[in-house]
Amino acid sequence: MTSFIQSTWLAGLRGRSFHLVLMLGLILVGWAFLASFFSPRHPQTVALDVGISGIRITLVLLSLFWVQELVSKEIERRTLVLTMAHPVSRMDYIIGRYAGISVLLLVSTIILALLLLLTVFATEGEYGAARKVSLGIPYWATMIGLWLDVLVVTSFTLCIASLSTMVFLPFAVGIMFTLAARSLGIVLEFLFVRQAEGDQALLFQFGPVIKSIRWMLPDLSRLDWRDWTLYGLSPDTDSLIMAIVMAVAYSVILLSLAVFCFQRRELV
Amino acid sequence: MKLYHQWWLASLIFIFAIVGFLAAVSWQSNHPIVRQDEELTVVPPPLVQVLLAFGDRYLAADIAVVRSLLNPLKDDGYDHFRSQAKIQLDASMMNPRHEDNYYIAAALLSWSGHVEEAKTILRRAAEGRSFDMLPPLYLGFDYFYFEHDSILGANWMYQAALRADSEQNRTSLSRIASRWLERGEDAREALKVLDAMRTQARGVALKAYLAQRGERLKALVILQDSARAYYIRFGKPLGTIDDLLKVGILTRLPLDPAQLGFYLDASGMPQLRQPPFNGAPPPR
Repeated sequence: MTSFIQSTWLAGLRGRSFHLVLMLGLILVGWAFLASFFSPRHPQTVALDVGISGIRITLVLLSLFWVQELVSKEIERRTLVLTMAHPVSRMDYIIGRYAGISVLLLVSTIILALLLLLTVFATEGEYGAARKVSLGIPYWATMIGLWLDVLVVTSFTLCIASLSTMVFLPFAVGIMFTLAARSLGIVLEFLFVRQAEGDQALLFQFGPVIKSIRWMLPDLSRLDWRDWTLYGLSPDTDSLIMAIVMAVAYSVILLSLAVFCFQRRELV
Repeated sequence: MKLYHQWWLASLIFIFAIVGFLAAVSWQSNHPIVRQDEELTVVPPPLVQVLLAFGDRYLAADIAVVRSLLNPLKDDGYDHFRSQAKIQLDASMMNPRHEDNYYIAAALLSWSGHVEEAKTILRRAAEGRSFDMLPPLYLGFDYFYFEHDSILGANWMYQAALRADSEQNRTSLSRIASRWLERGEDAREALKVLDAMRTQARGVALKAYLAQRGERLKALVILQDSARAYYIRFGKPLGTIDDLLKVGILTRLPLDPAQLGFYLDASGMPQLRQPPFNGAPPPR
């Protein structure tokens, strides 16, 4: 399995993926820096907020890109058949690829986070917000949350790639999954906490459906801990632990499914 | 020969293209596009805003606030700010702690008639930003000034005082809150809030100030109760406050520790005399 992790890492480097990461990082830095000019009262907070959103989007795109390049295309080009000719199990291949992409994503998260940190320092103007942003442990904890978030997306995309016969299907379905899972939090809040702002018809129409969906789709907004770094408001320990449990458990379920599907797949 | 024709055709197309381009630019230079300041009119539902921001509620809130900031300030009209009020309300649901959002709500929405929306945005900000004294301060002001609800206004102002970053601010905000309480319709309710403020107040001077305000309200409650008793006994409103002594309802008039005194309103009900705003000494 370690050989697959190594090969994924090397493929990521040789494919000039980190050039892509740096390019996206520079775009992100510019985006966050410009966004700060639109805030009259707390430019640094807005730069950090928009930058974190940028990292969230970039990491998903990188994850989908790597799953497509390192798994879907290998299946399509039949190069996987040569790999499988060696005495290795299909489970090792899937788990190894997942672990390799996870390492690539971790390094990307660190690079993007460092670039964003520089931007946030650069936007520190004369006007200070009611509370300064916390750039120590809260910042890096938020980044770990983003990494866990994208690991869930990676496991889902890998699961789709393990059974898909089209190269672009995992990418497209992965994006839809991300949108749905990240939006689930605000939908749940709107319907059940705010009672659909008094719209009973809407509540009756969508309430039962959303209640069922939440058992199939993880609420990825639970892994977004940016209030901690933006406003110094840390999530309570229980929600922090349960968010991590949710992410890890869901990833394990999807990886198990991916291994199960991949072992029964015709490769030739 | 064939090549010769092709060359001519290509040259002709090239010349036509140049002429066409020059003609188009010449026409455009005489017909500039004049765009009016575009008002904010399109407000998608919050979920659509979140989906358009790649499922990121914080980014959706940032975009909504930037859209609000770019809404041209043509007038203070209610209709002009209708869409802005809606989009800011959505932004406060997506990220209730957004500092620009509550600030422009207090600065623009309250003053253009969208007080309800501004109050909701400020209340969410006050609840979400426990470290910030401004949302409760603005909310208190909205209740006091726009809704004429002194009690709620003073309550929120007192919340702002509790969050103040310096003793001086805390004292000033507490004093404002206690003055607002005195303007309330219900003196007993105001007294309860004032007592709670006094109990939790830090600093001897502030405690003494609030105690004095409390004594003043207690005196008002005694006078108002007596005025009601006078009305029940004689079937007419009180003429002067001294009448309470003449008919024996009170043996002595309660003292006002602030030495501002009381007056009778149009219905014959005693009210607190307020200090003048121009700094002139109060009447004794």
